[in-house]
Amino acid sequence: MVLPKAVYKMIEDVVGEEWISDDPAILVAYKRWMEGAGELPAAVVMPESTEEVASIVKICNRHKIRYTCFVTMETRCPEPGMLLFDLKRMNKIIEINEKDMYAVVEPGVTRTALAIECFRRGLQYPVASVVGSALVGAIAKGIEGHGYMANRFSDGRRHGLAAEWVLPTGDIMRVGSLGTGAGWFCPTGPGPGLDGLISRAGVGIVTKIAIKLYPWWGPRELTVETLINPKTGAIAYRTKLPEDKFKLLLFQMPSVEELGWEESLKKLGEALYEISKAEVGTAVFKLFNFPIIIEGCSTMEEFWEKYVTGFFQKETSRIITVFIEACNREDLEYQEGVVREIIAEHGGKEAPREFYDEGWLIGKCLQLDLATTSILLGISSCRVQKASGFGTSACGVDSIDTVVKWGMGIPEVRREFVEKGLILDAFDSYWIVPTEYGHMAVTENLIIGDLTVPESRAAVLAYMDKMNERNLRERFPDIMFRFHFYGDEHVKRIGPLYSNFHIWQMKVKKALDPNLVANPKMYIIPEE
Amino acid sequence: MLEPEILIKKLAEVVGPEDVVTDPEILEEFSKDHSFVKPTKPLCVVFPQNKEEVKQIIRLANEYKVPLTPISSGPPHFRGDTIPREGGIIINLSKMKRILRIDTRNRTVMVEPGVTFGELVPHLEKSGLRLNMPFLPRASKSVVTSYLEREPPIIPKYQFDYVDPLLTMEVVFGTGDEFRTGTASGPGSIDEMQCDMVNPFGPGDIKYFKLLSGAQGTLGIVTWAMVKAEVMPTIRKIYFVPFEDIEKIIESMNRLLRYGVMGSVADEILTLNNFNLAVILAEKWPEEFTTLRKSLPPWMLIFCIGGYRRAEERVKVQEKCLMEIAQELALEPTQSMPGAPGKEKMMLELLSKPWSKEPYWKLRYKGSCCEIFFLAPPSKVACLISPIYEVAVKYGYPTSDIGCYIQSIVQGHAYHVEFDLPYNPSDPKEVEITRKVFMDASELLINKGGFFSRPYGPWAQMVYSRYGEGITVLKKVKDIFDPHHILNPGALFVF
Amino acid sequence: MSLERYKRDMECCTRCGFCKVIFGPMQKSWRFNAACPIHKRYGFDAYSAQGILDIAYAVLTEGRMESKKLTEIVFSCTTCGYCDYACKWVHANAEVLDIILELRAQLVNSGIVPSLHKRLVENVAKNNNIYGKPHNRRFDWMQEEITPSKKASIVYFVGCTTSYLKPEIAQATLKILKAAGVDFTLLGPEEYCCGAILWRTGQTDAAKRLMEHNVEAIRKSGANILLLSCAHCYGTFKREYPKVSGPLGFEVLHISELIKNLIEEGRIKLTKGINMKVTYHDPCLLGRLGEKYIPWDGKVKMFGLHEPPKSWLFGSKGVYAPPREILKTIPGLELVEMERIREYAWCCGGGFMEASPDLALWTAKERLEEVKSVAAEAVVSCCPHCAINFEKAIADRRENIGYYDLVELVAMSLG
Repeated sequence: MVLPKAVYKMIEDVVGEEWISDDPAILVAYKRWMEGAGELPAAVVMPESTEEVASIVKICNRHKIRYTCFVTMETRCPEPGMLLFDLKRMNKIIEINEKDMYAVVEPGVTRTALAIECFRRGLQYPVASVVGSALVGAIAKGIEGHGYMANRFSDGRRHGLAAEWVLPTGDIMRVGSLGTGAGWFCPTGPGPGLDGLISRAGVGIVTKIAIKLYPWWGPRELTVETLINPKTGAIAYRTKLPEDKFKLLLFQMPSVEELGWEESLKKLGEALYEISKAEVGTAVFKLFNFPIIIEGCSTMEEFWEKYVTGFFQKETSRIITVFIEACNREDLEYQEGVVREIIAEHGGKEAPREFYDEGWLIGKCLQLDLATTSILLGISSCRVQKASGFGTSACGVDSIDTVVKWGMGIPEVRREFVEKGLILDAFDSYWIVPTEYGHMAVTENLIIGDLTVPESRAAVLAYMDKMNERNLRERFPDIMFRFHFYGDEHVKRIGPLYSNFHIWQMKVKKALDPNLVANPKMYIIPEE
Repeated sequence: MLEPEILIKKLAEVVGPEDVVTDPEILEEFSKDHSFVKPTKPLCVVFPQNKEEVKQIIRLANEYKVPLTPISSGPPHFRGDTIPREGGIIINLSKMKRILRIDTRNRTVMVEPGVTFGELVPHLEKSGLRLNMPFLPRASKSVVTSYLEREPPIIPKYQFDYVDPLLTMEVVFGTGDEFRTGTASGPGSIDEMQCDMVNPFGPGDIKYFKLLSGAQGTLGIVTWAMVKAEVMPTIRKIYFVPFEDIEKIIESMNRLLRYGVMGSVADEILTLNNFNLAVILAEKWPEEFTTLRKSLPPWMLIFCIGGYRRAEERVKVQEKCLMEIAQELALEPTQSMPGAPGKEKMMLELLSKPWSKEPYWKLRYKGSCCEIFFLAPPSKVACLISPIYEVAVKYGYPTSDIGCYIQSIVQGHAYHVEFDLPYNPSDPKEVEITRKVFMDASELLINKGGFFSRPYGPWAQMVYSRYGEGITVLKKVKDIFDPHHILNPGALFVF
Repeated sequence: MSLERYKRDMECCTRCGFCKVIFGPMQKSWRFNAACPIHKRYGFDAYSAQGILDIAYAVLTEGRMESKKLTEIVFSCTTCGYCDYACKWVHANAEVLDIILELRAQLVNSGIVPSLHKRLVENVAKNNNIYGKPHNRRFDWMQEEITPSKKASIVYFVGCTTSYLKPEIAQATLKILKAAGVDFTLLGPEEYCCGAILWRTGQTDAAKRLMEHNVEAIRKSGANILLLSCAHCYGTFKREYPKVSGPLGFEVLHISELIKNLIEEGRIKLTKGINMKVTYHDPCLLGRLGEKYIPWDGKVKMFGLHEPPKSWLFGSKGVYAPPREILKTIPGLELVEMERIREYAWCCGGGFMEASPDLALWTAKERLEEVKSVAAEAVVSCCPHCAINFEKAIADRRENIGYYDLVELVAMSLG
């Protein structure tokens, strides 16, 4: 489906000829994404400013053109004939305010760029979302995402401050303190928190947002050491952080082999609970072992050699990672002391030295510069591309106990797919990240199949469906952010179980987007 | 329009006749508060005891287009949000008093709106937990209302955003539909669900807990809320730093929240001026108040250091960090309160409990008080202090009677700045002067960049006249959740 | 080779974006965090490795694409190889660059080729060089003082660009060889264009003819070391020639590697001071694309297992250290590093300037900004393409920045 010529011309008049295209060779680059393919957009436009975005959205309203926006990863036009906003040109860091500890950014700013610029100023951007993209897609959709450092900083949903937001009608709204001319520092108010409406592209496009920053006691510029795998020639980069203020600790908790799946998970969960409740550890989490390991190995063969011995299943199944950021040596020693005490109380021990130092070498790879690349900068690739990617299942964020309980059921769901050889026996490939001093926790289970092989792909999708059914049957909270993936039938099924939220969401959607142009299928599918 | 008697009869059928009050004296009490919002009498006050009754009342209100003003706390009230501006029914939730759950494992508390700080805090103490409370709420203050209205808590390190520590809720919207937010929403009933209902986000894409916060009951009536509680430290030390200069206070508060174990030396941390501090510390009134007012330094920064696991060691580390800060900023923190030695233990108590004496501390001085409060980023706080004094001078309000309270919030990313203006309610001249100061100073502070995020009373007009497109969206939201505009009309949605 | 061979690689692309920006802690600033020249320049995702892979996938699975932009997009890429290195750094292990080149070859074979690129083939066909200049003037740059041996273990392959446009590089190289007493020979009229630009514009048949000729000539010369001062030629001989001619039978050596050894052996001494603050620009085909090709012919099984196991070119074994070490030995010279260096260096566009002159100039100007950011007085590199392109950009911007080839500085500093 093509965009009407007249509409194309109007949009072209807004952005200039260079920044809109409906050429198939341009469009095709926006069709596929990791978990599948969407529809081809009818055209892609790259605006440079809020005003351009607003003008184009108004055009879409007048001419009933459905649109969605994107910066990275999720292009996914769910239906044909849509206009796709690629917001990468809007990539300015507008302000880094050191006194008030926030940064104001446009949607095209990359996570790492912001983090690096913050380090230079003695500030830290607590990267949320370890989704392996280099670009901050989240801003365009309203700051989502979870990061490793959630114990101390919480996750992306708490990081956004005031925002500038192009509503689905094309009107420009300023949320929070920005709305009354009081600056960027507060997202909520005046009165009811309208920032509660900001989410995916279904209710407009955030074109600027302020993000909370925190003090940084580390180096203003990172020192990176290049390591080369003598066997394969693969490159690893390792960052040296000052040892009196930063420490990465890896602990092996009693294994599945020793205690069985449930008991060992319970022990690990308890340790996580106690550590986070003790208010130590900037990052505290149960490690995603397999994705990190596969990424860390320079080739699949390198990984496989060790995998078939059962090494990973045995040695890396119950790993707790703690990353300490301290303001001084005494602080570091204190936090480390508490962590070690709790680990010992729960039967754990520090992982072998080789997990750290030679971490990137075959078979022992857990490090992969975990501290900097994964934790501080949130950019472990984590897409497991050389195995061809992965699927994901989870339950919704809730207490540590809830997500541990949820994890108990993974073997049962996995079994049939592993037995058929359709997915990797990626033992324990899920993370638990305590959030806000252990008040909540995030979990996600990666299913590593071969998405290029139809049977395996089908198995991965079947696994995800099976886990959804299990969540429903056993009444675990749903992963709410995946509706666009599971489709409207799923939503209609579960909606009544969740206070009919889908109906309220539909009402809000229709109120804010009367012409239903702002990616209606992404948000909730309204009855037409 | 339905005849009042018939309406009252219908209400009595819902809650029972003893829970529908029409006594003129009682109605008179509910018609006004300590704000400058014009008093208006309600038709009646109704006391539901459960969610079903709340639903039925809302349905009646919708059916007969009768305004409904929710109230949960006991008096005194200061903000005008509980005055039934268009008459109608006051729905008083104070009898919904159940503490539904104290979850020591997940550190949460689930309470109905009628549960007050005075009732809840002792229960929590027994469980080894504490709330991240606002500063010295009255004992009769509703816990749910306080958090729903985003009253600033005094331990910033625990506050991850502006709505924290509010978690999940059950609410009846203005349509009469019930709803549960976050992971309390489902799947299924609360008993069926396998979760602890601690995640406030959602369900779906809307963060309802944010939408309902600061709404003054204009979108729905919350019938229970889950809030975070925190571990009671095993060691707790209180420190004081006197100041002459406001600029330096903010710098110090910032530093205490940007350094230390996990980024914060301080647990509780706030600043009071000598007036407010004297009011709350004076045990013998008014003699001790007069003495303290003179002996206390102009400003006092008060903060606590807490120890949890390996408590002594933690406190030691925090104190070392404190000394580093003190040296850097040339501060002299002491464990003895300058100007009021011997009051340290009392202060520590005051930071842990609601105000239980009569009258409420804000009313002690003159019998009434009006509040001006707003939010500001750290860099602006200092310049937002002097305007109130300028306006006070202009109208002849005694500047030494202005109480000031500065609270760092959201892990040090913002400040709640509050001025308390006591006045004699029986003196019309004083009332008028105070009202003028209130109105002018509020306008001036908004113009200078103060963010009145909770626009009570006349602030609503001042703030929303500047809000632009936000008004359109607010209207749409209101029309969805309260299509007949029966919930607290005249409050907030004044555009 | 066909695109079918790379189908799985294309399917494994997860849009992670690492082909577009500098990855990880190697990013030093927001200003210089872009990695892909065409993506930075043109913005749309199609202008990136991910985009071109998507196009390739569509061409493979759906056939011919009706598009006005296809040619421009596919042939705009400078083939700097950053994406190839990045994709392997994150261990996605896709042969990104080979897919781009294969797509180009396929398009050329179906008659789609930009006219500018066609002209290069015509020039080569006539005169054995991409500039169309007379073949018999290829060695006009030679000065009488230095005469090559008729036979030697080292044959110095000069390259078209040096011979015709940057003769001072060859002259300086010879000066160094003479000073060190290194015996060398030249191919003379048997030296044809290395075929780099033809290969990289998908005109592989024409490139192959050149490659086969050159290999034959080198083998005939009896030399066992092929010495190059042009990074472009170097990378092509190392990485592409074996795909055509199999094992070459001679070592491929860059002049910087030789100079480093000569200094260590004391055969040359750099004693004359050059007081200047310089920065070193890593040529793509000397660095990340300067690794020796490792043939593999096998199957990819489930979960990406290669049978037999495949060795990957990660870009780690390129020539990075020798030029730097040499510069550090020159008295008075101060070397400062830019933000994007070594295997993650920003392409200057020079290697593709004959094919995309506008983009090449834009790219070089971008690089100049980075040179300025470290307050360097001059840029040093090891490639005549980089030289010409940088000089154009410097002139265009009227910057007060010099450009030197490494061998020029070494020759200046010879004691």
